[in-house]
Amino acid sequence: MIDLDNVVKTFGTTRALDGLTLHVDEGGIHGFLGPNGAGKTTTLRILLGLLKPDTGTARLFGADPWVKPEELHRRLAYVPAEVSLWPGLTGGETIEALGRMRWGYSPKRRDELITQFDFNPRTKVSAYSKGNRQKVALIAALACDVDVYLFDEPTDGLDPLMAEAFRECVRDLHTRGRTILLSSHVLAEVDAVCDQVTIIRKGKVVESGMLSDLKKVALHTISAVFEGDLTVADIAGVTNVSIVGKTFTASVDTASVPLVVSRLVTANATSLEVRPPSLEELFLTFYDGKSTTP
Amino acid sequence: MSDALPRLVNFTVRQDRFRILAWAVALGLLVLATAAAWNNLYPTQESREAFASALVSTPAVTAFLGPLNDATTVGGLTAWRLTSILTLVLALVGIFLVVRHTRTEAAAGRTDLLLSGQLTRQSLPIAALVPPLLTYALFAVISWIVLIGFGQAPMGSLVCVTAIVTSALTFVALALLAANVFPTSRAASGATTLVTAFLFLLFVASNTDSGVSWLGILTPFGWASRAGAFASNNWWWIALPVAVFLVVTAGAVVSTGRRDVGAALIPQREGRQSGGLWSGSPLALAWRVDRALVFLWLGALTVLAVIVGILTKSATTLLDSSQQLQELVERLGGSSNFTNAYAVSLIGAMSLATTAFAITLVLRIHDDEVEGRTELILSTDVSRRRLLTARIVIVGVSTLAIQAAVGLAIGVAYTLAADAGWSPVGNYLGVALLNTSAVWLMAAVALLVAAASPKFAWVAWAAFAYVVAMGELGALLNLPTWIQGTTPYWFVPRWPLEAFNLLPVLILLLISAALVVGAYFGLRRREIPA
Repeated sequence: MIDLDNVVKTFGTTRALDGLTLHVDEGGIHGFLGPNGAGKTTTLRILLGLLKPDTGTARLFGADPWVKPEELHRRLAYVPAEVSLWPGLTGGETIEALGRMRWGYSPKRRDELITQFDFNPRTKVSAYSKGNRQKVALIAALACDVDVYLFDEPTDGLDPLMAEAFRECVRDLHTRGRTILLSSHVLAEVDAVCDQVTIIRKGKVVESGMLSDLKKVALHTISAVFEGDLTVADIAGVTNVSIVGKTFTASVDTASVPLVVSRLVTANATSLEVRPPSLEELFLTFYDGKSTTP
Repeated sequence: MSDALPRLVNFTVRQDRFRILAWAVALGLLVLATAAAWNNLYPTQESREAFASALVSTPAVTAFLGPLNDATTVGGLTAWRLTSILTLVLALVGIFLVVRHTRTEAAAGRTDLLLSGQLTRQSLPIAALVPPLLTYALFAVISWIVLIGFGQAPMGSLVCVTAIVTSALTFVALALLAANVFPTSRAASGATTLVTAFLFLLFVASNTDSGVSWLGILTPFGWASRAGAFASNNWWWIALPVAVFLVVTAGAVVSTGRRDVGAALIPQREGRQSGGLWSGSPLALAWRVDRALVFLWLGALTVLAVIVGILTKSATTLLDSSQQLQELVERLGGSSNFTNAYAVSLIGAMSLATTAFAITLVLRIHDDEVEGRTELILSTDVSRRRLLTARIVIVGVSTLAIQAAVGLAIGVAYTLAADAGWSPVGNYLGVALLNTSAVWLMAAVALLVAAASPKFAWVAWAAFAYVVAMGELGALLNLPTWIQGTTPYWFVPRWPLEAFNLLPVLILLLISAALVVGAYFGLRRREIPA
């Protein structure tokens, strides 16, 4: 459905995308993670045919989006990160305009979404907050039954209730076999709905795969109180070791966890805690560029 | 209070320093060019007085400018020619600057950011006054020096520039008030502009007949005229707008201090949920977005055209009674048909207004791109080609409609006023339609830059400024034909004064078409946002 291969895109001296490769299969629900300025929006604009890659290939439904984007757009809906609308129109009029310019627009579905997102469509756009402008773009996109949905930081500005309403919509699309690419800098959001994840930083993919696999990469934290003798210095993949009196803490990679635990048991551990990496730790592992993966 | 207010003022001025400078210098140059033109055309006092006695007593000429207070000096003629026009332009500049720093800031939420610091609520409207005040002061100093440079009386020159800027100040105060009253910046500047237009038309009306000249007392344009630069030099008519400015400003500042930050006296109305579009096409969306602007310009220019039509009649009346004027017109226009000459030149001037409207409308495609709305539209089934076509249709049809309305309104008003038979209606409609070709060419230039190279969108307005300056000054400064011929308006045939010749119009249309084709290619090939 979505295939980007080794895409390079520069703006002046800035290398926004530096050999980016991204594949999303039909029916997949793919999280696209990265810090601000990593190149997420640029990637989506290339997929929409608004920007042209310097080198590399971009394919949407197997076609080059730069050539005849509007034909490909019959099968997709897009929600931009920064939603700017026409100040003189109401939210309802804007949704109608955008929806009717897409295929598969359903006024009935729109009305359901307006209720679901607790949205007042009669207010002029100029009076909307960021969250409400976001709702306009979301409702206009979700009211269309298309094959692919591209979301660029869609819950930015939404309150937690509305963000959850959005996630429900996404899960619903997924069960109906739609393909979704969800860009975000919030890992928890991607974790809540996506099965596949691509993490990018400075225009490059740092990690891509199943979210559950990625979690194995980050380090576990083991802490214990023990009574006997303990050495872990000979075990590979153990860092940040601290033994103060009879209290032990260390960061341990997934493969070495059983060995460390068995040593602690041998040393008569009275308490033992093995904590898997939190989302934040996983996030930081990839974002700060010190990823330990091959 | 500390030093927060001076810092805010400094910050506000920094944002606008180029605007302030550009307006003050450009309008100062207009004073320079006008004074130079009078100096060239009528170098002696006798020639100036001959001109005055012949031409300026006709309402058709003085309606927009007011009575000539002093015909003996170049300064007096310059003051007469420019006072109402410059007051109008400076008022519009001031309105724009004030609303930009008040309602626009509040609507964008930036006011909250500023007021979270050390500032008082009242400091925002006070700081917003500084850019227009600086613009006016700078313009006044430049123009004063220019007039003195032409050897004009320092006191008369001072009255001339002070009368202009103080009258314009009343509109700045009104804009400040409107920013309090209306919820959006468009409504605030729109309402103030409408009041300005009304007061200007009141001034025009007051000049048409001595019986109603008292109407001029009710409008700042009349005050500036009554200050009588180079003649009576009456400072009371300068003190009046200053007093009005102070009172209205104080009211606006006090009212800002008493209300919630960002609240407007008239709250935002709710609109309808749907039904504003006849189809899901970019043309339907463009019409929904643009129709308010189209109707506003259509209405305003039609009203103006009716006034021009009535004035055309009074031009004729005067011509019949003055042998001297007939000779002068023969010499000036090379035409015996003074009525037609008057109408043709005013339809030409109104075509410039239509051009300003057309460029505004064309550049909305540029605003959309900068704001990210184009990206949203192009993510739908709409192609770039259709997006551009929608813009072209909206601009093409609305400018044609406005030009037709102007031509018809002048013709009908003239016919009814002069009881002259219906042939002028067709004639003036024809003149207005011929001028549309030049309007379209200017719009096509704007379309090309907006579509192909948005970084240079300002070129559209620069080209417009050039064309206006050339039209105003080209003939007065006696510039060579090949320079004057660089504007499309120069090619529009001056029918019915001259023979009807469709060839130059066809050439203008062909060039416009070529520019439009260039716009399609330009938009097709580039990235968005560029």
